[in-house]
Amino acid sequence: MSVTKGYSAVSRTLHWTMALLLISMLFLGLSMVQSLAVWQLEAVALHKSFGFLALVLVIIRLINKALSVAPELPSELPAIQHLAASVTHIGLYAAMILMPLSGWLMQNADGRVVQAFGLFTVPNLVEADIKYFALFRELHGIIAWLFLAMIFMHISAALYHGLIKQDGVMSAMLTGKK
Amino acid sequence: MNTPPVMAVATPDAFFQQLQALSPDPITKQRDPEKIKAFFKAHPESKAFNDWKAAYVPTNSFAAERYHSINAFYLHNEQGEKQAVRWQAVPHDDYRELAELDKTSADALQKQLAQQLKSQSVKFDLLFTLANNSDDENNPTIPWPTTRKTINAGALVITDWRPQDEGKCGAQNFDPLVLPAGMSATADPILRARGAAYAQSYRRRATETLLYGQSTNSQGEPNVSN
Repeated sequence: MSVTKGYSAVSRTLHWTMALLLISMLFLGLSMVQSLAVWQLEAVALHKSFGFLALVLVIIRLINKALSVAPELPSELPAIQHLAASVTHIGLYAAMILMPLSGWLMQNADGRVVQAFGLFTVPNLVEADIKYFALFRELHGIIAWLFLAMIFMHISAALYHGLIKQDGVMSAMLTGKK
Repeated sequence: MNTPPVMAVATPDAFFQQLQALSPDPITKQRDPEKIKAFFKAHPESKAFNDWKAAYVPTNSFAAERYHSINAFYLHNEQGEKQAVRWQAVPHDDYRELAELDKTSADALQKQLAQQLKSQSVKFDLLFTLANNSDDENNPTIPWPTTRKTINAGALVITDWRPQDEGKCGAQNFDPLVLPAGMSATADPILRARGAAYAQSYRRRATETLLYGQSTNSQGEPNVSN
């Protein structure tokens, strides 16, 4: 067993808060774009507000990550699993940044502003342009599906470590102990 | 805005069924009158729409038609009160000097409007009808009584035109749920569905514009409206 402790309370809080937020956002997003229901209008407004919150949270999380030491994976793990873990983690962070950013950009390219919780309007990043809209809109959708696939891999790997290997990798994020 | 003052149905589900009933047979390319009859029989809420349709006589100009919001919206005042309204654009003058209609052209009405705009602008009065407590602002199939209070909210003046394939509107998403401050959408399920449906068509148009430089219609031909 590695001597490195688990994740700090701040890291764990950020991880689980964002896990709840992002999984909710992905499923809300995928259902609202296929719905003609009366709640669609309010769902889109909520999606934009919480999307802005997700962007703020990932910035805080990146700063926290830069300032703290993440526990290492067990050294006996095969190299291929080390590689898979690194690739998935980089992919998850990329998706966490690109999801809200592409959403923000697609709104601006559609000539719309993004309001957060009715409190303030975030600045426009691009001029309205149908081709930019197409690009950011399709990216937003494609990244969403890739994001879900990576979350699925991430959860599968965590359960493999927690239930089968019982090597402390999952408890590092659950309880902060290894 | 559109020429009918009301919808034939009140929900997206029923509207989908209406479109199915009105769709021509894929092989014969003909509509099935029996299917259409059965649909309207099963949807008595379409009575006001069908009564309007039976009495409707199209004018010979875009400039002489009435255009209706169909769905209702709320106006909000500074005291936090809201008022449900529908509106219609009513031709301002009686255009007696209408330009000739070239009935041999498929674009006769557009050409006539272009001709008209050379000599004078085309004006409409924007008339807001205020609902009272007995009107259901969430049901677009029921006309409000003509005795309801009406406010002339201003003039809609058309001064210029562009060929459709050069128009700027093709690159925009017309979404009736994007509203100015002081206005909001009612819970009318048809109105609510319009935003999502137009978002889908705008997304397809945008992707085609990005990939092929222009959007296409259902037959894969270039869209003139873009």
